[in-house]
Amino acid sequence: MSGLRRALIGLAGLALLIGVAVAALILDSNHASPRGLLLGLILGAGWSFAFTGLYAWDRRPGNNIGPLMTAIGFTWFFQGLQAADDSILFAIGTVGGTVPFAILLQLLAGFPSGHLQTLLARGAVGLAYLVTVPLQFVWALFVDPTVQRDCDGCPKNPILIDGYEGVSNAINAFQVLGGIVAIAIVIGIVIANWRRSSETERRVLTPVVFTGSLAFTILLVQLIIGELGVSNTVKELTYIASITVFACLPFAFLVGLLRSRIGRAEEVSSALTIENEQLTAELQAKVEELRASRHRIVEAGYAERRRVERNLHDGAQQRLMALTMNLRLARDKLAEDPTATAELLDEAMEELATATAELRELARGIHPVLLSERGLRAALGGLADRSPVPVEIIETPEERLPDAVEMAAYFVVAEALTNVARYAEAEGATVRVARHNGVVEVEVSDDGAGGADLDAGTGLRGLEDRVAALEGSFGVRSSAGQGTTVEARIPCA
Amino acid sequence: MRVVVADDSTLLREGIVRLLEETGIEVVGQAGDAEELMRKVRAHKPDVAVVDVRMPPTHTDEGLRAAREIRAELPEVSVLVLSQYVEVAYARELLAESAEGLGYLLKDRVADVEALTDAVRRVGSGGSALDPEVVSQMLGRRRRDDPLEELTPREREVLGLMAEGRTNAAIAAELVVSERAVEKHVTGIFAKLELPASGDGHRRVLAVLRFLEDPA
Repeated sequence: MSGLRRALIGLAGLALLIGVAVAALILDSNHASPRGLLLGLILGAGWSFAFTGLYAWDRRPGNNIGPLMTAIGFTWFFQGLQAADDSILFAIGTVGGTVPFAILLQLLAGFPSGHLQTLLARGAVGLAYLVTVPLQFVWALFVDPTVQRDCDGCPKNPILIDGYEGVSNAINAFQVLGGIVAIAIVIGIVIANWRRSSETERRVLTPVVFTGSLAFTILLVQLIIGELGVSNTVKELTYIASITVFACLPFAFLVGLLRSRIGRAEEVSSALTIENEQLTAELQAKVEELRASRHRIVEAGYAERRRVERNLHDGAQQRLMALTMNLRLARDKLAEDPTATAELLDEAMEELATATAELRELARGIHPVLLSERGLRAALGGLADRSPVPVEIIETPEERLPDAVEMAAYFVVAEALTNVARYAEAEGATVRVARHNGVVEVEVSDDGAGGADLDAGTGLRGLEDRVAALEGSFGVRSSAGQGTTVEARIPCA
Repeated sequence: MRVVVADDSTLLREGIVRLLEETGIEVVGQAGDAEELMRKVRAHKPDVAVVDVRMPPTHTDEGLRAAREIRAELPEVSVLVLSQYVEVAYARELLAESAEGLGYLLKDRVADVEALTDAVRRVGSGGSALDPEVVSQMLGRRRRDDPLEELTPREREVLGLMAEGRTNAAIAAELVVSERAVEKHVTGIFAKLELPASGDGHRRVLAVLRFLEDPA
């Protein structure tokens, strides 16, 4: 059991004892009336505030609401002391009896956080304390209960300075006015808070706002009619009504506070929902990206087939057709013009040599044999050899890498070098392929014009897809005049 | 001159055999894969083995491996490797230690009877033959501060022919100039590229190739 809980249980016991003692005072009193009703209301409101407050304190130790409610419960019993026949206890009861109303205003204005958020709220609560503590004490100095409250059985006021009614009435008027203002402001604040609140927050606020406003409205009425000089029966009725509602208040606070716990759970669950939605959206975006990239890879495959088909059709196939025609012509001229035949055959051989060379280059473009047979170092060397721009190979891994990784790295470098030759107007380029911590980093940099854009051409986009298919990342850094760097990072355990 | 021809494509192999035989080269054996090639070479001890790079079982670089094996086991047998693609990297591998009795030609050259037989004869007599395309790739490689820019166009031509493994006489014939003129060019090239002067033959080829590979 925690120290706090032990202390709270101790306080609960104390509240019980005080309640019993106050009950004894009331039952033994020779001036309290109606005795039974007073007993019920003092004990009912006092205990319910104290116990619900302690319960709230235990459940939400970080929140001021519990301690404030407990304080109301304890100070509430001051009102019971007014039933005492002993003059000291009676005086304490008279001075302290109004304190719980100020605490209650603070509670209401700060619900459910327990903190007074605005200057206006702090001012109103301050005014309430001014009226109920120091002014009440000053007032008590000038009140002779036997005279002014028509209470024959009441004990003498031990702190009485002067029983002159004018003074006590003036002070009382000031208290009533201050009380009305403070109550009105707090009711206004509470209603404004309620109006601003969300549906969930209202579930917490509504019971408190309703009961609290009702209680203080009755208190307002009570204060006002107290000044109007209505009959004692009416005064007693409003007093009973207000005390009854006050006795209900702690339960309203408790309901609100417990609902706010539920509200918090709802907040957490709605935060989870939002997070969930975000994750879903991210996942959806990823799926879209994958779909698009898969589409582009398939498209790139088709485009490559078309390119190969066109190259074959425009190149080797045309040359072989020309060759067939030349050979037929040569055969026709064989007998009559041997010189022309020789020329035609020479032409035919030239066509053949070109066709073979074209087929070879086409095959090399489809699959770089050097790469699969000798690895990146040799294949990148081959690319550098054939590049029209001077290429310096700074670093390549000694060891062979998985086929897919080598292929991707090779095509990144090949495409990047092709771009360098075509667009960069560069003096030179560097190639670096390094394997660190399970990642192969490919970097091709040139010192050319820059301004390359990943979105501009299909070549770079195709590379990005190729690299992404291996769970790698791909990027292009290029600003005008600063050269271009193409970078790929490919996981390679 | 006695030759063994290895190529897994019967069509091409028979074509090569016919071309060689027509020019008076004796083909003593034919092979369809590297294993058979080694058997035939050991049995016939030919002057030259003409070997296709890609052969069964993996169709990758069996020919290159066989070439190295033959050179190591039977140094008196020269090897001419034929390849569908020529790559500087393969040339470098093949000629790593010596260019003596070694050749590396693009397969297309078989269509040019003269080029083929010339290469076979050169390699067979202990010389070397490097495909003009490999050489042009080496020469064409762009470098920063390229020392080759010092050379005159004619000197570049001579350098290329040297790299192919031609003798001064062959270069002279090719360029239709006197051998004296070729010698002058060669001296000029070696001076400009700051290469150690070396005599005719495979050492010269190696020096030129090493320079082209790494001019630093």
